[in-house]
Amino acid sequence: MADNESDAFAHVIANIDTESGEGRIRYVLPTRMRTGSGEGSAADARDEGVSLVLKDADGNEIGRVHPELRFEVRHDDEEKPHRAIIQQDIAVSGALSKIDLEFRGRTIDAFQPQSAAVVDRQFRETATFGLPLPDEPHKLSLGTPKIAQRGGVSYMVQARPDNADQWQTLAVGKSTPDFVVDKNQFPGASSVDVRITQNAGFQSRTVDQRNIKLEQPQASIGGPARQLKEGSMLVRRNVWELGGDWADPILWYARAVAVLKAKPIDERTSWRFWAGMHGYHQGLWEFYGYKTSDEQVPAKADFDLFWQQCQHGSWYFLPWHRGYLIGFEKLIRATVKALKGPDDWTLPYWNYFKAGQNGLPPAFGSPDWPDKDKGVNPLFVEQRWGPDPEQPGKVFIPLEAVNLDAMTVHEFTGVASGGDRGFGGIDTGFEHGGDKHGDLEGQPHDQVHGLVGGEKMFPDASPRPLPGLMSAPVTAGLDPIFWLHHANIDRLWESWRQSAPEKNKDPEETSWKAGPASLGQHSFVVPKPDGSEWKFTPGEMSDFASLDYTYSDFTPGDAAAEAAAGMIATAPGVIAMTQSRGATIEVVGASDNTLPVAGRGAEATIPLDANMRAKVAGKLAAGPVPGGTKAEQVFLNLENVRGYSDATVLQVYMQFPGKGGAPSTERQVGSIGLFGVTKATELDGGQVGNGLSYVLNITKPYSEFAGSSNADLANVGVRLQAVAPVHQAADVSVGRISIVRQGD
Amino acid sequence: MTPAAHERLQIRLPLAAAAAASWAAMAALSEQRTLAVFCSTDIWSTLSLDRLAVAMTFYSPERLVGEWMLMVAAMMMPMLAGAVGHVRARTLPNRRPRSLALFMVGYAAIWIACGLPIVLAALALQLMQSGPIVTVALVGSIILVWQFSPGKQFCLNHCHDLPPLAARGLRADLAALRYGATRGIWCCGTCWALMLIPLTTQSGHLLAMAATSAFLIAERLDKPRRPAWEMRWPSTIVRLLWFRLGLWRRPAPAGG
Repeated sequence: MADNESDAFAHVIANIDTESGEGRIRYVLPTRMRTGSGEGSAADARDEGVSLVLKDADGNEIGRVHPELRFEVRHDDEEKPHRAIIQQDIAVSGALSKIDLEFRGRTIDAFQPQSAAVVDRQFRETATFGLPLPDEPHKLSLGTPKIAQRGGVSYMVQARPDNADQWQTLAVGKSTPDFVVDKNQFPGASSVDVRITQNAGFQSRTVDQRNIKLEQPQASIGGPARQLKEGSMLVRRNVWELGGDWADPILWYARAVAVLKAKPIDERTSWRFWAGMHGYHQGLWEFYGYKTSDEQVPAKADFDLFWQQCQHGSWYFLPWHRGYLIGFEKLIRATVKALKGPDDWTLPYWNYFKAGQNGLPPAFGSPDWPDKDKGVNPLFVEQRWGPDPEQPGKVFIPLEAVNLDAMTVHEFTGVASGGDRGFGGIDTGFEHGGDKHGDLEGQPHDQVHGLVGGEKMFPDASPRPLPGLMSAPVTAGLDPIFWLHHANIDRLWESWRQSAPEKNKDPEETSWKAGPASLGQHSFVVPKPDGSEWKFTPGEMSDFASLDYTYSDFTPGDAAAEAAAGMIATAPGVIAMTQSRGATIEVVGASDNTLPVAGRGAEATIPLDANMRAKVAGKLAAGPVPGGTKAEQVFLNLENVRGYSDATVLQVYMQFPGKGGAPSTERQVGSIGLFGVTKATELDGGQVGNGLSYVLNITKPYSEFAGSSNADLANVGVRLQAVAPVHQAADVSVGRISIVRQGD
Repeated sequence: MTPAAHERLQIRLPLAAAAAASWAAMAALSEQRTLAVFCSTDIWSTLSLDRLAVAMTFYSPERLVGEWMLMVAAMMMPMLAGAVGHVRARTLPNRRPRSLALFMVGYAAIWIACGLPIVLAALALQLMQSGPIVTVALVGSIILVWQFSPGKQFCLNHCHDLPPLAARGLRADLAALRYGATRGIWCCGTCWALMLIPLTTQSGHLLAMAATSAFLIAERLDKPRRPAWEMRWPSTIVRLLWFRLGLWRRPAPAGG
């Protein structure tokens, strides 16, 4: 064994279900140093009988590791958690050629790499490093046109700015080394080393390393976003990785929240004033004790200027919330500073997708806090009931109810007629409660709101369930966790842009960039910490480089799990073909009746038109037209969803019947969250009452059956399964369910 | 142009063409146009059923209905894009022409039915008149009262209705017809008072029609709001023009 191999490790990612005994090694990443994973007590694993068995080429055991299991938070405490993720470092010796995942003495999966890949000879000649992108000079591209994708070979991109000692990993598990580096990720550095490591099996080798000079980003002239700038770049970090439940940033957040909560409702820098800017409902605010009936809301001028601004069901959803977050973060930072705290406080984000982080960060869930002499924990909210009505207050995100499919969409804005609405939503004017949510807004944004907030019956107050604070737009801003959820959504926006800078671009239309003011409507405006007005436009929010913050990590969910499971990967080629402008969008079939949804869910049958069915099957079979830009796609539309239960999250399944009485095959095609449905249902507040409408991309499952001789798609089934039972009194219904094609 | 804007354009262009054709027909017919004359001519200065009978011999009802509907088409078509787009998007492709036709039939039927009371109201104004000032005052009062009423706002809000539509068989036909008729009701409710302006204007009738149309469109740009007695005017259009003409500028940054 060579010396340099003695410190070689491999990072193994695997899942296991200790109930069903199923498991899979998802990913093995060679590394030169321990990541610190799997160093905790392995007692759990021994009890569970899980081990990683290291074998040599002849199949002889050369080592055995009992990995630590990180169990997913479950619905009910009584049921023992059984789904777990394994992240384990193992020492790699020269003899190692295979890893078995063993469960109670049985091998349930094995990883045996192909022979180590040969680095393409052309790499050094063709690799381009550090070329600025034409439209975004703050971003540098790494390009390697000659490197082809190969099974079992992945690349890792790392960077080390000259003002730091450690390499930070920018991306892992990439099938090619192409990547874009954002200079703003390295505040204060004048140059950065970038290296690309190729991983093939247990072998890892650095294939290139270069130094890129970073001139300091040029200050853009003027611009209100600039006005708020206070020096160096601030980094928003993962709330679960701050170094403890009550790490400094969380404790200072709590203290600042306490100060803001004590201020009068009509003061521009008070907690409730900021919540009212998102949305307001007198009845709920008073019932939950956030306002007394004697208290006056802000005077008309302030109310009209600032309150009830949040943008939903609109392409302004992302930029409005970004400005709202920036203003809020400034206010908290100023408050922390006034409390003699640090002057660089930043808003943490909650990445519920990361392994073991789908639970509510502990500091938010307990009435107690370190400053016990100052009363109840300001981050604690009673009306935060979580996804399971049997266990109110146990808050977590059931991972089967959320996904990152929006990250695979390559258009910011799409169509309103039943096809793809785009990553950021359809073009609208000022929209405080639109009925057609964009892709990221519709998943995971809406679901997380409802799953965290939950709902509860108060028979004395209302025959209908009342929403937890997070569950409804009119109360969401009152919950301190709201801001961490939206920081994650904001992070996903920038992550989307960075993941494919050539394709994933924000709109260029003036009506987006200049905001609704350009349409004769309300401007976006929030108060600064001194109470004066700060107006912002989507165009300014889109210029991420000019904003004074960044994120510690832009990986959308869990880097390791995604790379292995293809969690957000779609077949390459299909994506590039899609362009919805001018696409033909046609109904393939629709349900006949309104579908009431109560209890655990509901089912409907969708008759599909024979001609349209044949058309879709033909186009899917033919594949993309050469030179065409409109690949065939199929969408499930849930139209006119009405009711009075904003917390409801419905898992959506499609059933494809077999031919000649053969059983149906069922596939989950996503989920919908009814965030905002009450407002979209009511008529009295000047609302229209059309309800909300959802679009889910079902191209993949549909194409699986469209051309199959074993399936009969004359009638397909749709099953809605509620995460928490839907109360009859909530009157939830789906006006119509339809299947729509989009293509040439 | 965004994909959604492109979709809207595909709907708006044919509607705009239909509206333009209706306007051209109105202009071409202006020499022989009878409806406005019928409503505002001096013959109604004294109440006389005999004279009405005489007048009706000159003005055939078919012709009056035709002209009324031409006027409705010219003024309303541009405002139907949302509803027409909804019918088109939610209908199976092979049913689209039929469903759109049924929508239009339902819509037109309501306007024909509403035409009678509206024209009669215009007539009644003439019958009662003692001078143009009184007419203006009367028409103006009716319009203002209705414009500021909760009823008007209720109708205007419902002009944004996008109901679920059945996709198959007779149910689909009835759904399209019903949607057309209900849209017609909310449209008539929104517009009837303002329609009195062109009806009672003889000289400059087309101009009055155009101005009324523009106002109705501007009114639709405002967001739905809670119906109430209140002073309202189309404010979005004013700010929109202000912005587009570059009259509005963000104030210079005032310090950090």
